[in-house]
Amino acid sequence: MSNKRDIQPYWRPDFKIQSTLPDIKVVRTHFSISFIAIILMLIAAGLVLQREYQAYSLRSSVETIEQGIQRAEALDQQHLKMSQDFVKFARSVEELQRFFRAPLRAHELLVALAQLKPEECVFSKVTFSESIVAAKGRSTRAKSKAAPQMNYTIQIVGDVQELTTLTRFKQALEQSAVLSVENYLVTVTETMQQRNVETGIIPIKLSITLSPARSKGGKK
Amino acid sequence: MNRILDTAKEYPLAAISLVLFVALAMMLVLRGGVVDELTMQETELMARIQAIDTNVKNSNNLEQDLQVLQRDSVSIRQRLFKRDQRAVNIDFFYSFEDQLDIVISEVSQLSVEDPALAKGGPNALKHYSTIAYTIKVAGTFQEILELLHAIHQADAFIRVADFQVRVGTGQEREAEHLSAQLRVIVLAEKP
Repeated sequence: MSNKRDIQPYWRPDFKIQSTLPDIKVVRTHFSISFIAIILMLIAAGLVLQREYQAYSLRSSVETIEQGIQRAEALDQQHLKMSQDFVKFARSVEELQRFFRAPLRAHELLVALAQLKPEECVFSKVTFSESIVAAKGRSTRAKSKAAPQMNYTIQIVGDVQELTTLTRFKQALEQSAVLSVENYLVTVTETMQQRNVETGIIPIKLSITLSPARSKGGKK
Repeated sequence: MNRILDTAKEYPLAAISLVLFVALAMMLVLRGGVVDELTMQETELMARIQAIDTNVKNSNNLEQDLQVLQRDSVSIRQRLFKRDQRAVNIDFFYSFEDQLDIVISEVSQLSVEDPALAKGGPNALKHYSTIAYTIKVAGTFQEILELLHAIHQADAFIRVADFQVRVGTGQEREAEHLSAQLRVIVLAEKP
């Protein structure tokens, strides 16, 4: 602290002209400025070169790929054409499957009914028909969006001597493998008329309906 | 201006380097988009070539499959009913009489198409049309069953949509004598 107080002002004027004096710093200013400028220029040049090299590599890569595409293009077009033809023909085959889409076949159904029929039961008429049902939905929008579906009805008219025969036949129909169709709900309802007093025969009518079952998500 | 020139004269190397630096920096800025553009182009072309590669892989055996499908398609077309050949078509059903020793009393072509297979129906067809017929037949249960099976097995594509089998009436009322009415749908050529 005492040393600071002892500092005295220059006791004579300084006539030196700084700019004319030689640079006696360890690293000359001239050198520093030139060095920094050159370094900056070199960095910029490096970056430009790196970018240009990258662009050159990309350009050659693009050219190579383009040549590859040109070579493969004709074959690809041919494959695409074949694929389109395949889809077209596949659709026509698919439509054929759609044409035959039905849960029951007439001859198989008749055989199944004949096998399930109890001996004491006599059929006078068997009818099978299909109909279109409108979409079931809570809202009008849901109804309009859902596609219509097929409904199948089998009606059997006949006679039985005993009502137990009818019950047995109904149970057999409900448990039948032919009638348990995937995605369809089977309902069997029976109706009977007055018993004929003279013969003891009871005219019966069985109605079997296969209606589209609703899926878990609410859709059918 | 003079001062700048003086400084440049004083530091010529630095001045040249600075000018070059500015020029290079400008070049970097101006040509900066080229790399991005090329990268994008390369990515697009890579995606295209990958798509071509995938197509090549997916089209393995496609030619053979297509040939099989084309053959099947021709075979299907040959088995379709021709709409304008009404007599030939109706005669096709009467021909079952000779095959099965059954009496077909009536075959009539219905004017309306099956609604299930028509436009808007649940099984709507685009590539084909359909013709519906009503067939009335009399015979034993076995004969009717054989007819239904023969229809199912026929070369033409026929499906029994509705049927009614009942005990014969009037003179034909015998235990084993039945009469049946079938509504069959036949796949036909598109008009």
